[in-house]
Amino acid sequence: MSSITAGGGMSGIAVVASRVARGWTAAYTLGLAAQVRDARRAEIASDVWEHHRDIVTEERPMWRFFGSVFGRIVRGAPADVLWRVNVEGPKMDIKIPFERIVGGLLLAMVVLLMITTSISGYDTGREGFDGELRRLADMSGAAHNVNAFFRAITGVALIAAAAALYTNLKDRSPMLSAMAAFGIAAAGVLALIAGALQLVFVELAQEYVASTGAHQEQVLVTARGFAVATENTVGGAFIALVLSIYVLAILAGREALVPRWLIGIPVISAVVIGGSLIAQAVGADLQWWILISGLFMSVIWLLIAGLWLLLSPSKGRAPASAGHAAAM
Amino acid sequence: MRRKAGALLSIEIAILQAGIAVLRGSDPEFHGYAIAREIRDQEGARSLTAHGTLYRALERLEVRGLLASRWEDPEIAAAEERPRRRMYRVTAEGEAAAQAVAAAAKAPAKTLKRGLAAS
Repeated sequence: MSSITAGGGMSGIAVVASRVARGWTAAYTLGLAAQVRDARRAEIASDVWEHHRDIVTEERPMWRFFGSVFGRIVRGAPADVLWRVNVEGPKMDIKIPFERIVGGLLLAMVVLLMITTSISGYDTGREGFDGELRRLADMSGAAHNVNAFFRAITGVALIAAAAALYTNLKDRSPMLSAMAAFGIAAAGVLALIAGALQLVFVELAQEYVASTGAHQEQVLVTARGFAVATENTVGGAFIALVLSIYVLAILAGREALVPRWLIGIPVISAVVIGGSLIAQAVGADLQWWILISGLFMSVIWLLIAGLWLLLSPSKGRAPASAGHAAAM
Repeated sequence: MRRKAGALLSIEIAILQAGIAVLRGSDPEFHGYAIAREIRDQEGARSLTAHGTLYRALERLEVRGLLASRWEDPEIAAAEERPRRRMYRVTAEGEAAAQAVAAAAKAPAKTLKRGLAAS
């Protein structure tokens, strides 16, 4: 195969596109026979190189090269995965210990939860909201597109994580795994809705800045409505995720996937969140901070449980419930 | 939906037709990116065929004997300071298959014309 790398003669964003293509090809050809693996990698490297040369020859902007390569990777990813499955055929036997898969999924959920909730945080108060709209309108179109892209990816990834967790945990507890998966999938759908609402909100922010007088006032009211809807949708997603974490904690504790004492963290989290609701009812000032502490604890459980499953030695054990059944 | 045995997918037909168009030129061989560009131009599409879709289809066509491929001489690639290309060529079977598809596509229109003329 060629000794010339796909990034040869490229610069800036073109190198990034080339590396993304090479990285994805390396990922789905990992572990294949050297001849098949190297042939596919060399063919994609050649394709990306020729593509880049075309863009340079036609003097087209390099961001189009990046967009085109990225699009070709994403659109072709299912075919790449199917190709990989076909190449290995019935011999394919990727043995990733169950604990590693679940641990990885729990850690992925930490990241997804952080991204999902970062959409919130608007000041929907009458005085401060003008500034929020102007801040959003000042952001570039590219920044909004990247933001929307991450929202969409996060929503889809949450739904995929729900399916993967259910597939891996249903043998341990069909009911609890279905409940957790339902909550995570619901959070994914809500994240997608929140992303769409935010796009409308951004459009309204731009219209707000461009308009004057009574029309501006009307846009402000409508935009605030969308901001509140976005915030509440994100809140709904967050609640669904936290409830799913509690269910996962019960499942993991019951099946001894993680040390049983870890269940104490979500229990304290639930008590703290309950306390924050009481604090809200009595009008205490610290209600918000108490709530955040409670939610933070549930994320801590996710983090510890994920790392535990990922790093502790695999026991390759059967479901605890199967053991009970056998004993009876 | 599972396709009929022996039937060609639209991407495979597009590759064969683009490959035959290349065959009429001075160099009968083409590489992956060249065929993606040819398909885009022929179909007036905005984007190039995805990597996964393209190379999977090329492999299927080669397995069926409709395409043949070879890796080009490394010295040529080195002289032009670029990665080595995998060159494809439409075989006689590939040409026949593409012609059969084209004939089948025209057949209903001819039948309809005959029917209209008779009535």
